[in-house]
Amino acid sequence: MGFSRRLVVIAILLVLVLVVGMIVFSTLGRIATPQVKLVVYAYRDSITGIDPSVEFDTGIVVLGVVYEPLVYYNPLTNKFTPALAKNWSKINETFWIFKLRENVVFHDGTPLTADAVRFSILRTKTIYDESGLGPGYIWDSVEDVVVLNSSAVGLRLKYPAPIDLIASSAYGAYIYSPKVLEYSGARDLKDESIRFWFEKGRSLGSGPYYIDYYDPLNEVRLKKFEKWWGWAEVNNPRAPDLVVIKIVSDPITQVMGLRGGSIHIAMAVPRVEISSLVKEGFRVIKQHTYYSYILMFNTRRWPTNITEFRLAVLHAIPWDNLIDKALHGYGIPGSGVIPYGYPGYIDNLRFEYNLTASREFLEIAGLYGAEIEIEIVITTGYEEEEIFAMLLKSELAKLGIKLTIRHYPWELVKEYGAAVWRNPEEAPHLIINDWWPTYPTPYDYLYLLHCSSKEWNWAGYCNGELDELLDTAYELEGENYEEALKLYEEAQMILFKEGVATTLWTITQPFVVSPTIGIRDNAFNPLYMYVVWFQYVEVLG
Amino acid sequence: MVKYYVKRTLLGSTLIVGLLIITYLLVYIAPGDPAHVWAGKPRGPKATEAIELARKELGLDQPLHIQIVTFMIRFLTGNWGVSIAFKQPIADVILRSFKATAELLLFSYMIAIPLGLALGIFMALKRGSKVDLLLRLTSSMFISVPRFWLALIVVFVFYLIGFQSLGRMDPRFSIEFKEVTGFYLLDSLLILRVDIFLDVLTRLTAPSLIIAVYPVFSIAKYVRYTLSERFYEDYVIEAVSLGISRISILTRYALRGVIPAVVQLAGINFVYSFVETTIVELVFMREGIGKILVDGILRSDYPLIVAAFFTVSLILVAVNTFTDILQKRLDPRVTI
Repeated sequence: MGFSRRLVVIAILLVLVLVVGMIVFSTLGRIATPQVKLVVYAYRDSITGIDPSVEFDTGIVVLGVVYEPLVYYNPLTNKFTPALAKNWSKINETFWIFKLRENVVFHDGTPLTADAVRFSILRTKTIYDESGLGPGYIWDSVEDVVVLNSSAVGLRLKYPAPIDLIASSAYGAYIYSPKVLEYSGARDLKDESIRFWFEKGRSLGSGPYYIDYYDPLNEVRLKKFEKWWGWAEVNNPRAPDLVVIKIVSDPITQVMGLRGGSIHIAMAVPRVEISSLVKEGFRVIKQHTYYSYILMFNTRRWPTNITEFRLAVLHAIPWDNLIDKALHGYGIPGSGVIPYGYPGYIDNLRFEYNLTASREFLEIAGLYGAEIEIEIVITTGYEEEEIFAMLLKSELAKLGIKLTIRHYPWELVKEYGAAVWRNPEEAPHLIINDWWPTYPTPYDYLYLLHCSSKEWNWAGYCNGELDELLDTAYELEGENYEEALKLYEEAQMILFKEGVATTLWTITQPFVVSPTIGIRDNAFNPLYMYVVWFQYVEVLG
Repeated sequence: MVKYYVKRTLLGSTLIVGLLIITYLLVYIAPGDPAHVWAGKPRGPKATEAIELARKELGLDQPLHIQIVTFMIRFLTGNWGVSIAFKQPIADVILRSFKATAELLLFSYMIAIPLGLALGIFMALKRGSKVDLLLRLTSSMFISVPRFWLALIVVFVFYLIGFQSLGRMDPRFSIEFKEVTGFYLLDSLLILRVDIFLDVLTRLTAPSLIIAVYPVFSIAKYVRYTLSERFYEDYVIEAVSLGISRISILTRYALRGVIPAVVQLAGINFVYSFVETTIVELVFMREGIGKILVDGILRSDYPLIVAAFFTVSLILVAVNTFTDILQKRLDPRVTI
């Protein structure tokens, strides 16, 4: 048999093998997969890190399941829930005691101790103090963490602070075993080898799931931690044994995965597809978030450096139908800078769509009828920002203002935003800064407009009065929370009157869930962006 | 031949080093701030300090030529460093994804080359018939259809007939699956698990078919055209007059002269397929080099981007060299 003839035969055989293989596979009634309760959660972005003391971005979807803080807090219900601390008390303005839960073990089997709490908090704080990395600034008020006994820890403060709220932070408040020093071969808690030990895909938390496989670009597999202290309380025999957090950046692929059964929970389904999925039996959970899109004006460049001009633009935004058009209803209109339901939120800081008012503001500024061109920078791929920009463009055109829309990837948007401090002419007149919370304090959002916030204050706004109010309020939070809130309100009034920045909307996150999956109410907490607490998920199928 | 190997290796190495420098320069002038990414998008009062510290750590505060020299020395001595965005050793990230891409591409070409040959021969034999016309039209259509769209159609079709095509393996198997080589198809056989093998095969087939489309039809078209021409050569006409069947002449004599060129064509197509894989992997929720490039570029992860380009360049040079040598072995008249 000649060489070429053999090739033809091989080709035919190969195709036959494929066809026969698939027929066999089909007739066997699908492959008998192991009887494992599985949930596949499609998440949109790659995971940027899993060191519980350093990670400050998308890693939260993993950290939130694998690690636990001392206490949980839900701003919507204004309720604290004990986590690793069974109770806590403020002894005086600068000393708090947290009593730890018994029978808690970390994923390596070592018990939760006061030493572990001390180690975790101090590592997070030290890394920030020395390098600015991570969310450690939340512990700025902490002078020392005192081990009172093996199951009680005291936090001595430099100045009064709401430590219970800080301890419930979604970032930087996770407790883990100090054994990490030994496992990573680190000299001390500052040693970088600890970070790289974690980033190899290891977990040392106390949460209901531990990391089994970690590929930050593609998928993270979490296995049920049978020794988790909370299983008896949760009482969920249908909780998944295996959770796969699958990175699926393409929304259409998420839809296909849902329909095909390879995805059970999806968080980036195109909003226009949701109604048809519901008709097919999928469930939609509309989760409130604090993920806000904040419109900022370049206060260092003409004409957005003129207050009346900014107010004219703000009154040209079609506020009434913005949520419907840009978000297909999945959002809450902004009011001020702080999102709805978050500490410090004020309901009456809304602008209204009124082109007559816009014209009046332009007249006061002496700009009515002038040929004005301004630009807005939005993030590529953010459909809602694009729709908003188009709506604004058409409204501003009615005022004789030409709006140029520029799309850039997020990294570049950030660069243009921060450019307002170096070269205001290089920065756009308008820009959207999407922001999510760290720990529940109004300062978290309002600091965006603080003069010292050179990386995130994309308005380039500097107002001594505002800074003074914010700093005083922050310091007051530990002593007199109500008074602090009043000062935050004053600060927001300044921003509102000057039209420096406003939240366009806060996202209502739709999670599309397969009919084979049940989700209990407490599977979500708006502070934990995109985190699903799988201990409250039920595998029904 | 030895001289050729040396010459080819030197040429390939120079090409790769050049590509590395160009990639570094492109990433350097591209927008985005790696220091900001390395610092983990810092917030709070020390955010600026963290970014400046990261800039120093990464050596980005140095002049460009020093950056390039330092980076090249480190890179070419095997120290690929850590991914800026994902904080994992780059060699680990690349190797993990490369295995997935290699498995997909190899399987695609295992389908594409024999299938393309068979189709080409068939079309040559049926030259001028309605079947030939239909197949030519079909091949033109498939070659020009966007792969992204085609991939979506295949996912949908697989879904309709009840096959899973997304991902590399049913996640439930991950509990029992032990990775040996990183090539799941092979690993499932090594651990003697037919059920996993079939699952992996099914999920591999759909994306492989998409990637195979271009090489199948380009090979088929080439084979058809070349063989058709050979029907008019003297030795074929003479053989036909002697009563030897056309198929026999074709497979025994005419095809022999076509194979070396097909090998060369497959090598060239391989480059194109590599690019296609980046899209197909995303649609089929598979890990791979394509995803690394996309994520690396979006996050200004320049060491990862350079390493990924290096790996891709190395493979492409190796494949082209291999096909050149194979062509020479198959056809001694070829000079290289």
